[in-house]
Amino acid sequence: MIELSHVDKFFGSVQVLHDISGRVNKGEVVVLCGPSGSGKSTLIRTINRLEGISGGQIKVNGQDIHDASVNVDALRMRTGFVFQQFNLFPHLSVIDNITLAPRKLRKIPRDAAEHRAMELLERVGLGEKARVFPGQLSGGQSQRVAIARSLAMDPEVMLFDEPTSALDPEMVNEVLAVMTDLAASDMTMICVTHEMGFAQRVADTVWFLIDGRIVYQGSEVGFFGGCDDPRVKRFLNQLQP
Amino acid sequence: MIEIIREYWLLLLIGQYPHGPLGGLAGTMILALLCLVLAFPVSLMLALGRLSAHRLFRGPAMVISYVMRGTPFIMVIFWSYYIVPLIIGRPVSAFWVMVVALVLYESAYLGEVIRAGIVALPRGQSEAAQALGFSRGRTMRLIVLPQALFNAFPAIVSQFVSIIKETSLGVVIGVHEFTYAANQVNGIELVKPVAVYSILAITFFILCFSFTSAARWLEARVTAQRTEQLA
Amino acid sequence: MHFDFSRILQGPYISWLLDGLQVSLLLFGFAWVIAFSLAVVLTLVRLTEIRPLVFLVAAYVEIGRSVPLLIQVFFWYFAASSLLPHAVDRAITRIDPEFIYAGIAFGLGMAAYLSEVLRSGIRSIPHTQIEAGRALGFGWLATMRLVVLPQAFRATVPPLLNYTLMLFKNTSVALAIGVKELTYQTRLIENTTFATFEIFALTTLIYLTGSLLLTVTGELLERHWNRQVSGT
Repeated sequence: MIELSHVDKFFGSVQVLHDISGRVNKGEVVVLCGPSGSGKSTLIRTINRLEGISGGQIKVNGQDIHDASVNVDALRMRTGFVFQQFNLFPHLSVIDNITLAPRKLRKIPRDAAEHRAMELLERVGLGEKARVFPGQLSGGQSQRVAIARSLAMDPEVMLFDEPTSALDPEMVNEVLAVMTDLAASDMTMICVTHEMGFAQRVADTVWFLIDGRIVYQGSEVGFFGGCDDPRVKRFLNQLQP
Repeated sequence: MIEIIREYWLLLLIGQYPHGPLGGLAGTMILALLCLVLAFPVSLMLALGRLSAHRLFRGPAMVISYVMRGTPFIMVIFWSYYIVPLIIGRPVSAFWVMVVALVLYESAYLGEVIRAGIVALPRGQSEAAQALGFSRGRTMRLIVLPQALFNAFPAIVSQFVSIIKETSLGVVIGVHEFTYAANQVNGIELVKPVAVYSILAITFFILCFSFTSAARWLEARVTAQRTEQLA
Repeated sequence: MHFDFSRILQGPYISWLLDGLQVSLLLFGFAWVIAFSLAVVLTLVRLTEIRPLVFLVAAYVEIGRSVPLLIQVFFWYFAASSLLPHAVDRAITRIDPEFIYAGIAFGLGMAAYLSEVLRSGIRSIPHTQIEAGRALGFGWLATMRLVVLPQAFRATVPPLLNYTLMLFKNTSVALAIGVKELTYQTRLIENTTFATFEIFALTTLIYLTGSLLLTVTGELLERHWNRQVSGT
């Protein structure tokens, strides 16, 4: 359902993505990993056009997302994006954070939106925090609200940009638990993450990038279970404590 | 000094009203408040204009902002004195000329304050809104501006203090405000300039220092709330 | 509505205007020197951290920033002149009382703003810089001179230029007591020739040029320093 063909990206004169191609099928869970500066965050941001591309093509459900006829806002309503820094709206309560987009963009009446929001909050384990403000939440709680906020728009695919990297270690697991649950419900997911345990348990496919190029693109089993590529081996070794 | 206050307090407070236009300290405050209320929408437009992606809006907004901030306020007052009756087609009172001049001049500065507030907001906020599907305009209206204006509120109060101080220049075209009233008192008394102008200075000091202190207190509150939010 | 610049370009009017500009620039220079010198003194006094002195400086700064510049000019010209020793006042009156009192008012008023700029600049340097200097073996004065002040200077220049621009524009306020500076002369020419738009436009252009010069200087300096810091 998402297809990248020969995607290039330049920041000024620096090329950060080289000839990236790949396919993500419906219901598939893809993990993007690689050393710092490998371009994985940039890559995931091109999918909902938070970053543009300099060359190549990206198709979602067969439609070129950079085509002039495509409304970028409509595209983004169909893709959920979870940021490393959560980016909750501090001036709105938790439930208002979640219901804002459904109410204003999909014109869903407040009651229906709040009902759905409460369902999602229960699902991520924060039902009692509905009227609380983001400033009073921990990092792990904030990120779970951010996930609920994205899910409220019923996206076709969920994009995660290092969702646990800004969290204290003891809160990482509560967020990974939500993401695992989401994967089990057949959501199409693309995750940029350093959490290799999570990747091994939950991912179907791994895309491994170095310096803006895909070095390995295949099943999770093949990646963790005995890939011969020395670069992959080195990366995996560095991650073992 | 006490005698002067006791003798002329009404004149200093409200000018020659009802035998003349409302002036004195009341005149000063009315001018300042009118300016703030009328300048606010203009400054909002200027701020958004300067941040616009379209050069059609960005260019004029930048030019207006730079010209107003690079010209002495007295010149803006003279320009208004000359142009406003021309545009309206009939004579305009000094008071309203002053209002126009104040709005023109201060909206440029207020616009910069608002712009700074918008720019200071973390980029993640507008990115999160856009990632949900909000257009640029709605992102600005629902997410960026409410937060930016709240964060900029102490700076807006500081700017209000500047507005109060600038109203005193109205005396140059005969606007009936506090400085004008003080000059009138001095014209009557003649031998007590120290007392009269001390009253003038002290009153402005009390007025402006109060607002400035309020702005500082607000700044501390806002900063505390922001650090809590960003944590 | 037609504009005829020849009305002001002929005759003595341009020389009147230039006289006014000269007075403005002299007033600006005079006031700036007073303001900056006093600001340095105030900052040094503040650094001594002797409570009553620090309080006096703080009070001075608050008063200077809360009272409008026009009122400060009025105060000095109409009131303070009678408070000064008689001989001083007489001497000033013989030279040019309007110019001198306006200059004093501007200088003392702007000193309040400038001292705040200097204070913020010095405070912006983290204490760790001083510790680093002392750890190397530099004495207090040497640390100030070699480590703190050069960095503080760079932090202070942008707001300093901002207030310098403010002072330049505020010299126009002096017309309220009859100083024959640029705006005063502008009004004179306007009253004589009735070429209102033309002369206002010309004077505004002169002020804008001055503003532009100061702003551009500030930006060039900032760019130069940023390049030094980032090593490009």
